[in-house]
Amino acid sequence: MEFIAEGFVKAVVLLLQGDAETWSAIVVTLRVTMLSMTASLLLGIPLGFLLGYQPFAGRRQIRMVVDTLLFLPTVFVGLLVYAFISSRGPLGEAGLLFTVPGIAVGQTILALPIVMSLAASATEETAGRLRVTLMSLGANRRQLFLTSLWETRQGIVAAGLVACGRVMTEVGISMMVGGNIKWHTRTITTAIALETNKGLFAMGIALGMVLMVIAFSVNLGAMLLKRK
Amino acid sequence: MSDPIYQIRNLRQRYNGPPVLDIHRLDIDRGMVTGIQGPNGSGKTTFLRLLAFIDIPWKGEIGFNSRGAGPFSEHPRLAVTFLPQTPSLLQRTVYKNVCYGLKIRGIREDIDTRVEKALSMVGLSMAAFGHRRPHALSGGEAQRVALAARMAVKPKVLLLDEPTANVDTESAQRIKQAAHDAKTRWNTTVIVISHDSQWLYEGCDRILQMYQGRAWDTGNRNVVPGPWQPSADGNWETRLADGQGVAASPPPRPDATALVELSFDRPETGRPETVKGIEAMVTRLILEKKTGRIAVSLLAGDLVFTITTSPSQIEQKQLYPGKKRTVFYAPDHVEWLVP
Repeated sequence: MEFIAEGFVKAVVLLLQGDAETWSAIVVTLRVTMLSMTASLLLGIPLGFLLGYQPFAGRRQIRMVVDTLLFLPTVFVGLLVYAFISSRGPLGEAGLLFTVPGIAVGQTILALPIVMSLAASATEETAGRLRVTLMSLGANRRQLFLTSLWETRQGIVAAGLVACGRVMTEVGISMMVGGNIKWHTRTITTAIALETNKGLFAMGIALGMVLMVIAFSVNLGAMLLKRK
Repeated sequence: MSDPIYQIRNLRQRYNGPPVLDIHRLDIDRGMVTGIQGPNGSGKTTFLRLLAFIDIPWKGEIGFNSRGAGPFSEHPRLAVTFLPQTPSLLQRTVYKNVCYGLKIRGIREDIDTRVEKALSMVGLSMAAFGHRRPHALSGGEAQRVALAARMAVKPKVLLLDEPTANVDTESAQRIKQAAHDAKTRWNTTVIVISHDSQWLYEGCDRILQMYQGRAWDTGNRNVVPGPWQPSADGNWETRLADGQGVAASPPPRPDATALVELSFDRPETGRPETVKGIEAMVTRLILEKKTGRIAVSLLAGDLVFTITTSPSQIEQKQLYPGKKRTVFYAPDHVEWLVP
């Protein structure tokens, strides 16, 4: 147990002293998360909302596909993205392999079905419940749509949180697509995996603590957003 | 002269199955309070949702102010408002819930005053409730806030679906009063579904009875469900829970439902031998305030009948709760409802 306690102490020292390698992984993680979450929220919220709001032919089938994609293993996403963006792949010339945007592409694929599915579920529940209320108060189609969207905000925030948690904590895509390159594509999770393999717990614990602080901050922000 | 705000013609509705509503012709007059009663599953809510232009009918049409209308039609959209049995409030304060209808109508002036008045009509104060969110309201308070949101827009038509079914006595009283106020202040046409016969008979200008998707004016016609079996005298018969038989002319189907005109006096059919009687116990008397007549509820087996009569006949025939009396009908004059 001693080495774990030592690890915690060293972790605090590393963070307080501003250890460059530790902070590099933190910055890369934040950049990748920011990129992938922006893309998945921009695409996923409107698509998920429409999937839950508007009945149309094939909606159930699309919903089934999206729900199935919730189970995508990160290593499989990593494999597919790697195959597409490696030099032999159809997108090889884009130069995305072993880059932060490359990891973000993979993580967007991971997060998109989560945002879509949970946003669709929240919309189905809320919009279905509120449709009669809003129509009976005189809302026209546009007002019905916009108010339903606003009233679904808590469910959509929850969808974003779940997706964010999945993106920040995944290892497979970051490792395969990013290559875990020190100072460039090493994220918190890939760094923890590497340091633990080397038997160096301090940096791993430090990064784990940072991950928890980030998660707490994201949740706090979401809670404040829900209150509005 | 009647001035119908709704003109219903050949209206039919169904949900992936047989029709649940079938109303051939019905007009609802402007500024009147119409009550709708009937057992669960008789199509009352389906009918009210169609009148609210929430749903699209399967067949037929509803005219509103002499013009055809449907969901999102401009002329009824801002005039008709509907309070469902379990209304949903928006996830915002009571104040914002009540002013939602005003805002989407583009009303920006005197919002505070209007919201305050609407809340006071349902017995809630702005100071105590205005800032509250839905989770901080009881069921009855939420129902009253939902009604206040409808009252704030001074509706031309107010449709209420069992508004007092799940609320306490005080909330129920406030809701009834608010519906009454809407009619007296703004000449609002009120249509209310309720199992509260006392409220309906005391407060409504007209009461519609619904059963198996059909609607008719409540009078002395009462529902007698099947199954029917042939009897020795050439009629068909169904048995009540207390063993009494109710006779009728041959039904279109053995499981058809009969509408039987009941009376405390023997109907004059020309053939007295064809008149039959049912023994029933008087259970309740309700005064119809509008007409001064009295609705007498009677229990025969497990069926409840209602016959409206004059106060003098109540005295003359001693029609008081607990008394057993014979009610008469003519089996040849039965109407049939086919499921």
